[in-house]
Amino acid sequence: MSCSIDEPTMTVAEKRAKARAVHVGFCCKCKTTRSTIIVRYAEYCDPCFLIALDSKFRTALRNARPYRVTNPENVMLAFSGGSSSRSLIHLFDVFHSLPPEVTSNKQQPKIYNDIHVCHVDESCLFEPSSLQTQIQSQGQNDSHSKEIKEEKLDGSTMEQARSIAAHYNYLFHGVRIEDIYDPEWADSHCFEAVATLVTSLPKDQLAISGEAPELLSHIHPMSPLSTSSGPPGLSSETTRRQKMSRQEKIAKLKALLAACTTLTAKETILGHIRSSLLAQLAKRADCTILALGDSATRVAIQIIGLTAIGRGFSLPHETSLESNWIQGCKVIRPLKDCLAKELDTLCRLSNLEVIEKHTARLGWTIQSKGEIKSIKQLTEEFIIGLDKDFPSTAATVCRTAAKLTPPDVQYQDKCPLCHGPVQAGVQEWKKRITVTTPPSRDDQETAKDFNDTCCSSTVGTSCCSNSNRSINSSSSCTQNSTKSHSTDEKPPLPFSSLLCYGCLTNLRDLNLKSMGSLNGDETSQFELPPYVAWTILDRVGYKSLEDYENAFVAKDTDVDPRESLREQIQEFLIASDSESEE
Amino acid sequence: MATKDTLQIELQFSGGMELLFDNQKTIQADVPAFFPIVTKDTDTNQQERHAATIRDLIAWTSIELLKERPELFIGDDGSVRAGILVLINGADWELEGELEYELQDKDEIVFISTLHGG
Repeated sequence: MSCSIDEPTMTVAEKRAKARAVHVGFCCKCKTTRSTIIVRYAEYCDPCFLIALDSKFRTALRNARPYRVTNPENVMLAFSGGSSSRSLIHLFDVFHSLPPEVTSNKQQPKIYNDIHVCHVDESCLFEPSSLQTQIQSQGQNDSHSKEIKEEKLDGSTMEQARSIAAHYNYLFHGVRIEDIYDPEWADSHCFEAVATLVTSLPKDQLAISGEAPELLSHIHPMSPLSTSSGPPGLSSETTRRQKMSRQEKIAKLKALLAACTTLTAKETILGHIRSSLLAQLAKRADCTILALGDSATRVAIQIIGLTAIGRGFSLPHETSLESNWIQGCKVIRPLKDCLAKELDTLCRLSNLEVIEKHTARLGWTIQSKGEIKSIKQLTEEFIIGLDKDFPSTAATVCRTAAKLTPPDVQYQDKCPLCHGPVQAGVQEWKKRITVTTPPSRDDQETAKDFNDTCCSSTVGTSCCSNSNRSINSSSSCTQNSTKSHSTDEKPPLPFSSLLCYGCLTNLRDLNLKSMGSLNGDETSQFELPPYVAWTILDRVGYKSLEDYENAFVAKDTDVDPRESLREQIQEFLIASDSESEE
Repeated sequence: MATKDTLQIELQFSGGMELLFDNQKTIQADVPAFFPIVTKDTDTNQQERHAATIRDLIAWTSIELLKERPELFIGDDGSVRAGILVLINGADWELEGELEYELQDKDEIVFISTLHGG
């Protein structure tokens, strides 16, 4: 039969399939119908394929959460609009709709109580040009009513997602990606502050110093007008409750993405925002389980891609069948054993409606001549290209990574940006393994000296932080400088030191010029969403925004040693104050 | 065999593929029944012209119908890009001989993109 030379290179799956295929070209299950689907060497006919896929899903679901449960839990299905999450809803429905005689006879408790569906609408980040073409095509077939037109002009995926969920009678929760700037999407449900970043180095030194500057954060309460307008006490709660308009939120989100210089950084941050929203959605709907529709292909891409961008530490949480990392919300991936191809086939066979354009492709945000690809896209091409010739690639990668065990880290110590686990001492380690300065340091030393001398004459602000830098006691000096320069500015909180390795690496791609500098003469051009601000405060040890502000006010009044310093630089102080007033 | 000069082929696009074809989900195409033997690396038959195969269809589609971003449809080897599922009359094209499948009149070819990444 088969040539002996072939045999050593045959995979297990291939061998098994060969052994099973009694009649070539017929389904390996029923063996009576001509096969129409081929999945990893195994040939199926349509009905047998559906049965096989369904049982695969059930097995995974049982492994993710044993059936023998005392009280049924609510589950949230994350629905992006793509074929994988669409299949997830369908398979959950098939799983949950048992024939009535089965449920009534055995008196079995329900395995899942309520099934919710949530959707994150990313239409505000869709490529504008294609949106315009969509509008044009809409204009051509003018049979649509005006309302529908406007809805489609928007490119919004929300209504489509809602109607799909309604079809199954599942509760639908929709949120727009820009809503991450709403105060309600932080862990404390109502956190009306955003974080901005400042660099520990003044602007003029950024170019000279090859070192990555330490990033510090400011927490700004959200106010309708501007972040710095409120008095330090900030007792006017009611004025701050004004909601931001959608346009403002989109502008903020776009500003954040614009500050990233690489496509990889943009995608990664967007991914964090997305998963933060999903976790919040699940928690708010009282769902203790969040089911994601990650397919085996997707998980394999994630495994390689996340490793490449330095997120190996949190890899088990982001790719495993079940993860208990997020407090009060278990994340399961019941489609982890199903290839993207299988799920696409399921959608086709079951006529499942999918939303074609659902994820934001951020390539258009970077202006360049050639096509720029992110690490994720490159990994995707790599895995899928490999999978074409070696159909077991995705499964092999998944199986290997499934052996990883989650790190032993407390959820309280989560990274502000990605809410993933933080390994201790990442900054020191990163410093040790990274070469950021060219070998000839002499030039830089002289440059620094030059700065020191020149600043005394003109720019007092940079002088202060410059000397601080040379002392190398950044934590104490930062407080001094900000206090002295602008009294209504709160001392910066740490940021870099709270981050996980992956986020720290990712933020190297942030444009330093878009950040504020410590001396306060330039403000940050982007704001991090409230959930980041909340986590920073939480990690630093403040219980609430009021706590933080009160602590600062108290400190501000009774701190005396800084007064002398204040007097010393009074001359510059007035100058900077008047500047800020203007 | 085929006496007609063109074959009526129904092309279907889904999973995001339709965006490359001006948002058309279904295209009724009249595909030439025979293609001249090209001097490229796609040598197939010994005759002057050969019956249209899927390989020809892909090349023909990308020239005649594709509206934007050909790199998202066609791969390096004249096949479709990896990650695109091709179905011939409802069956996986791997079962039908992939690129070498000879098109028949009234065939239904489905292209589904499985690449969804953002």
